[in-house]
Formats: sequence, C-alpha cells, structure tokens
Amino acid sequence: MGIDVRPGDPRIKSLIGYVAEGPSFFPELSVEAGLRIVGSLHGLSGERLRERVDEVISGMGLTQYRGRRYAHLSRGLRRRAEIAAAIIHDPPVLILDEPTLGLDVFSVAALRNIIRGFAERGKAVVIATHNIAEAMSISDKVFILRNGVVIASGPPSELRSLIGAEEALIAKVEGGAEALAEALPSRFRARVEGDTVTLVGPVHECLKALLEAADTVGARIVSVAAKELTWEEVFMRLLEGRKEERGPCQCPLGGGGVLG
Amino acid sequence: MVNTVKAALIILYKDFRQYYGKAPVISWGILFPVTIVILLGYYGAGMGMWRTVPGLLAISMLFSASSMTHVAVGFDKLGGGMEALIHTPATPAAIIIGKALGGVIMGLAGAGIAAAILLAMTGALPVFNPLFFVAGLVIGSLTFSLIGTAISIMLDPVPAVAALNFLRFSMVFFGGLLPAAALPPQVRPIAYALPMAYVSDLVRYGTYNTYEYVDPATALIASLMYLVAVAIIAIKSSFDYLIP
Repeated sequence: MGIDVRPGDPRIKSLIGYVAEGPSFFPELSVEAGLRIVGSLHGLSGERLRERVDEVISGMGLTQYRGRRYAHLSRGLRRRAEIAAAIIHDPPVLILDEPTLGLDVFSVAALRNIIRGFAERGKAVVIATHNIAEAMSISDKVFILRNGVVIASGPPSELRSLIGAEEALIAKVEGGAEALAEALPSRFRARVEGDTVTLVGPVHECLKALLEAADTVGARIVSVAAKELTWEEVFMRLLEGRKEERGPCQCPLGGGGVLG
Repeated sequence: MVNTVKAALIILYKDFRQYYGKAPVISWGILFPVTIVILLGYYGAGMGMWRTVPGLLAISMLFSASSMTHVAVGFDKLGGGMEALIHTPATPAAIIIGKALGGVIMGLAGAGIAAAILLAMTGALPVFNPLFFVAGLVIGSLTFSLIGTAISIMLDPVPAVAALNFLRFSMVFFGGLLPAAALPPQVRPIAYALPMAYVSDLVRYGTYNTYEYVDPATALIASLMYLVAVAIIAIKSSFDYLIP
C-alpha cells in the first residue's frame, strides 16, 4: 500500500480494521453512539457518518441493538459491535485476533458468515487463532507459526498433504505397545498412549505394517479402528516433524488464516 | 484523517458522555471537595479567610480534575475503551489531550462550585489580581489533571487510586490548608516539593493580594515548571502505553 509500517502511524490505522482479542469498545455507550465516536475519529462526519453507521449496524445484524449499551450486550453481540467499529471506515484489510473465542455455536456461525461476506467484497481478512479447525474451515490460506516463525503455510488441503496422509489407524495392543511402535517403519509416525498405538498413513498400508510388527515383537492386537485425522492431529504431526528437524523447543504455538 | 485537536475534542465528548456521572467522579471529584469546603468554610475562618479560601479552591480543583482523569483513563483501560481508541487514527497526543481536557473542565467546575459555596457562606470573594487568579486556576487545573492522567496511565486502576489519594491527601495539608508556619521545619520542604503550595499561592495572590509560601512571581515560575514536568511525565508514559 506504499506506506512504511511504523508504530502509531495514523495512516496505517486508516487502512486496517483491527479487532482485538479482548474488549475494544466503549462499555457505557450504546452501539450507535460508540460507532459514531469511532467513525468521527476516522474522519467521517455528517451524512456520510450517518450512512456508514447505518450500513455497519445493519451488516452486523445489530439493528435491534443499536440503542443498547455495549456493556449490556451478549458476548457474541459485543464481538459484532467490535467488528462494526473496525470496519466503519471501510478498510481494505481486516485483522481479527481470536474472533470466536468464548462464543456460542450460533454466534460463531453468524460471525463466520460476516467474515466471509467481508472477504467476498474483495477485502483481505487476517485471522489470528489457536482454533485450528476454525482457521482451516474459513481460510483460503493458512500460516502455522511457532515462536513467531512460519513453520508451514498454504491452502488447508495442501497442509494435510504435507504430512503425507489424511488417515490414521488406531490399534489397541496387549503386551508390548512400545516395542510394536518401535518395530514399525518411521514413515507411519507411530505414537503410543498407554496400550494404544496410532499410525498415520493409508489404512491398508498401516494395517499390513501393524500385523507384521505385531508378529515380529509377539504383541497381540486386540482391536483396530480407522479414522480421518482431525486438524488438531495434522497440526501436531506438522509440529512433530519440525521438532525432529530443529530440536525440542518450549515455545508458544499459534497460527492464523487469510481470506480474500 | 481527523486532526489532533478535533480528535481530542471527540475523545473529550466521549469521556463526558461516559464518565461524568460515575461514582468516583461524584464522590471524590464533587462530594469530597464540597464537604471539606463547607466544613472549613465554617471552622477555618479562625485561620483567616485569606489562608483558607484559596487553599479550598485549589484543593477542589485538585480532587475534581484528578478524579475525572483517573476515571476517564482507568475505566477506559479496564473496559476496552482505550483499546478501541488505540486502533483509530487518533494519535497518542490527541488521546492524552482529550483525556486531560476533561480533567481541566472538571477542575474548573470544582473550583467554581467551591467558589459559589464560599461566596454564599462568607458573602464575599475578592479578586484583587484577576490575571494571577486566572493563571492559578488554569495552571492548577492543567497540572492536577495531568497528575491524574499520568498516574492512571502508569498504574492499574486500584493502585492508581491509592497513589493518587496518597498524593492528594498530602497536598491537602502540605501547601493546601496548613499555613507554612504551622508545619514543623522537618516536613516543611515537602510543601515546597509539591505543586499545591504554588497553585494555592497564585490563587491567594489573585484573590486576597497576599501569599503564604512564596512570592507571586516565584509561585508563577514554580507552578509553570511543575506543569511542564508533569506534562512531560504524562506524555512520556502515555506514549509508552499507547504505542506498544
């Protein structure tokens, strides 16, 4: 956009809309009054301000709450009011920090629709979240960060393929789960939890390798179940892959997605 | 994009809409000064009205101005208002000017209420040197407003009110109501280290054409220096907070 990013530069702030993780509105003011204040600080006035306030209130589904104090709104409605404030100046970029944290399922669904609508109007939406499933379900491109460094990025479908499989086999083992896991080829990335061994890969290959390894170590397989990997598992596997490459690290994990 | 002055005025308007009726503003900013003004308006006459009245006006300004800024900054930090302001194009300077202006207005209103009560009680409130009187009110309300702003920016709301009260109650005695001669020599320097002595002497010279701690020229210079120092602290701490 042709502007160097410097902390506090008001020109940057007029190009982005930012919704913080915590509350970012005026608790004692009504939705409409708060939006008028934020709009005025963005340089809107008169008829244009009135129009934008009406547009964002209607767009966020807040029409019946426009006169209600922010402090008296539910968490989901507060989130909508905060997003309304963030887009009152119609910025080309919207940044949301943990937008659905603590919201009920209905509010999450409504919020996702709002975010998608924003992206469909040609705006870029950047979401920072620890909710991997959310990032994968709503984003065109996902960046997985560890300690501030991007460890994987791409469309959600590509991220799944990065670990080489979308399926896993879970086997309950009697007498030597650890030994069985060690006997398996490393490409199955076997993980042991108690008497359960989880293998990642096409189910038929996992099953074949499992039976061979069980024969080798003399373990008895009690039950097996195939499953599709959840996004959390894909995420963990990706991290494990990076951990093997870089060594252990006690650092916070995070991620985000981009739409538009 | 909105300019600094306009942004400050918008923030001032927002703060008055949100906070003028808040309990800490009513209790510490209006009720407490009114109580002390009525109490000492009756019982302080023995000290000499030239001593009591300017001190009461300055103390009312102190409590009214700093209570408003404490609420406007502290409540905004707690409730998310500050977060919302940070993400608008309003500059940190505009945010601080807007916050401090609310304190100045409340400080002047507090002094006005105190003056009206004292006028009703004593029947007269002389103004011998209007320029010094106005200078005392303006410098005092600005200084006290910025003290509230700086402390509320630097500390969380609960420790901020404790720190603010420690400072405010110290100033009630040191420079506010106790005559310089009544202070033991060991603690007298405290009065000279706080802005209240200079502000109340400016008001004293403006109203009763006399002074208690320092001569009017020294009071004017010292209070201006104090104002600049407090402004620098308030601006520095605000920028540190508002620009992560």
